[in-house]
Amino acid sequence: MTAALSEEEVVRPNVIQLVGVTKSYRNLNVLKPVDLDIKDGEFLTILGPSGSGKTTILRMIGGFTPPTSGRILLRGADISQVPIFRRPFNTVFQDYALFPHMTVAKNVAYGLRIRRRPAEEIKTKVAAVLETVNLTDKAERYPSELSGGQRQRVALARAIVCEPQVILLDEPLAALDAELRRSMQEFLKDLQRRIRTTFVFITHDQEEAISMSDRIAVMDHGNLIQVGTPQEIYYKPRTEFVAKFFGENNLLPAQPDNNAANILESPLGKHSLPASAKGGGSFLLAIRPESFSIHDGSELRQGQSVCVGRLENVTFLGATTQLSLNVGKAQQTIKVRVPTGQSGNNLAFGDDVPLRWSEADVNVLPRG
Amino acid sequence: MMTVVSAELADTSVGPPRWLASPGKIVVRLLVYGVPTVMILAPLMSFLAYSFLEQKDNIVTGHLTLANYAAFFQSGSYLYVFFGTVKLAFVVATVALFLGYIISYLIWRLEGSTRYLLLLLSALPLVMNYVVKIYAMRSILGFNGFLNSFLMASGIINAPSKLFIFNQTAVMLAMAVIYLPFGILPIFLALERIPQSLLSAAADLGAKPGQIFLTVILPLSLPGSIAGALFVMVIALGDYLTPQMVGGSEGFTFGRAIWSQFGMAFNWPFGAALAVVLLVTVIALIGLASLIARKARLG
Repeated sequence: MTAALSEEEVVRPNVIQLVGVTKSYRNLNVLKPVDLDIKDGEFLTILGPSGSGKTTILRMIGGFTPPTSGRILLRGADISQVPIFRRPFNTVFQDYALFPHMTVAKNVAYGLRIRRRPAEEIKTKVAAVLETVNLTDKAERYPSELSGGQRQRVALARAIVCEPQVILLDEPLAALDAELRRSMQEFLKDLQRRIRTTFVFITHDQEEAISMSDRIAVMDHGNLIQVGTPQEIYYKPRTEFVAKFFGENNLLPAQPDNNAANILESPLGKHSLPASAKGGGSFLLAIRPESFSIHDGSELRQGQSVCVGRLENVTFLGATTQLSLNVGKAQQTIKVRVPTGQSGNNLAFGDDVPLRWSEADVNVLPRG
Repeated sequence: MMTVVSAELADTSVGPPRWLASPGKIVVRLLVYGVPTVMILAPLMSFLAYSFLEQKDNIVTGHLTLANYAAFFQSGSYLYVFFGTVKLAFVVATVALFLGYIISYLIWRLEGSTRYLLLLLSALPLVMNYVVKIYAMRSILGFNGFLNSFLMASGIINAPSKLFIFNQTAVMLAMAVIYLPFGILPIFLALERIPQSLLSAAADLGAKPGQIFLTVILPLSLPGSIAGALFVMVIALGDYLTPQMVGGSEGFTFGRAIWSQFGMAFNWPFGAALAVVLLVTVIALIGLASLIARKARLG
């Protein structure tokens, strides 16, 4: 799986590259130097809490605001100084920014009319795009007569009709209710596959990012922290922030062993210190609740370990059951999620439960 | 049983029953309806009534008549003054629209504190005394005023021109300057109501600054601007002091005609009838302005 993905990454050329891009307002550094490659045809999500600088990146790509330093490349050519109206990108705004004095059809046709395309072409393309977003019957309506989801689709149609090289989406689903949001997520993902255009999507919602993206770029406090596939971000977080941002990781303190420098000691036992995490001081171990299973006594495979935890709590979650267990001398609480059938009904509070996990699922993070 | 219970619950939730108004509420209601009635409606009604009264030998007889209106609609000179004034007010409003739009647009494009400083400065004449402003205009437009001195000094004319004072042009120029702030404010508000994201969206879709102005800014701000200009027209229609002070005998307007009926001819019923004609015109204009403004909001 991972091998196949990396092979694909090699094939895909970069459509946009950010090289050492920064942004500061007066003395405030909104964006620390960012290097980011956006590949042709991918669905890239820039994910981060509010104020993390994700919208600033989008605005700089779109040309709404110039970078303070660094370069923005479009297929190798520097476009940092190209004015907004000459960039082959289109944006879907958070508040949709539909022109209230124009009908749906006029809104969608705007980009083509501005470029003085022939009337016949405009008509055909607008009709085709409205068909794509299922709004053919609303063509002569005004935005004020549409629902939130419909406005959203008009904004999308208005962006894709210009056939941009990249579509920038600034938290487009934030204003929709949960149900509409889910159906719009599927619609967006499906649309992106059909028109094979690069999408750069901004969100603060991890689940949205994981379910929609080819790759995710995680941002925090103006720093680009980690870029990777949803699987990489989910199972291989590189910092404490990423590990905490994506659901309930177990974060356990770990100290280097006094006798062996490359061995870490944690409530789970001993771990070998990976080459990438060298350096003194203490570390954090991140391991996902579903990476544990209950040890049934069968022979351990290569790289598997076992420890024992005292059962403190059991929460039924439906398909899975969550166990809270105390492990190690410090009685550190960890959460373990197992398929409901496997948890066994014969567990009682205070029981010692043997747990099995794979060392490969343990991420050693610098303690920040 | 259920309904009784729910009715009781509903009553307790809103306090005392609606029909049992407390004395305080009655006082408030009297103020809300009574004050406007006494202060605004009563004077209006009294001169509306006056306009239907008969006057013989400078004495109001108390008989009802339509003669006052008939006199207006049959008199060539009053109709001439009326339409001349409407035209004058229209020109003033048009000038306020054009100049006001340009000034508002330039202020609107500014950023930071300068824009509000300039907006404040352009609205400052509103708090100045009206008569002072008229005298200021007279000192500019007059025979020995700034304008003539300037034109003579720059060699454009040899002798002071009488073009700028005591005629319709003088009235028009003075009103246009005095009422410009009334145009600037609503136009600025109309521009300010345009969401910034619409301008970003237009640029994002490939529109150059000029195209953004023509396709987004102008169509979205024009209805509000026209409503503002109509407001200027309404004020200009009723103005009698400016025409009197800078218009001379040539700058006779409908406002002056009404004033002279009350102040000089002492024919109050006829003056009231003229005022009602003006009032109906003004109401029609305000109605038009609010119609345009509402259409702009619905967009």
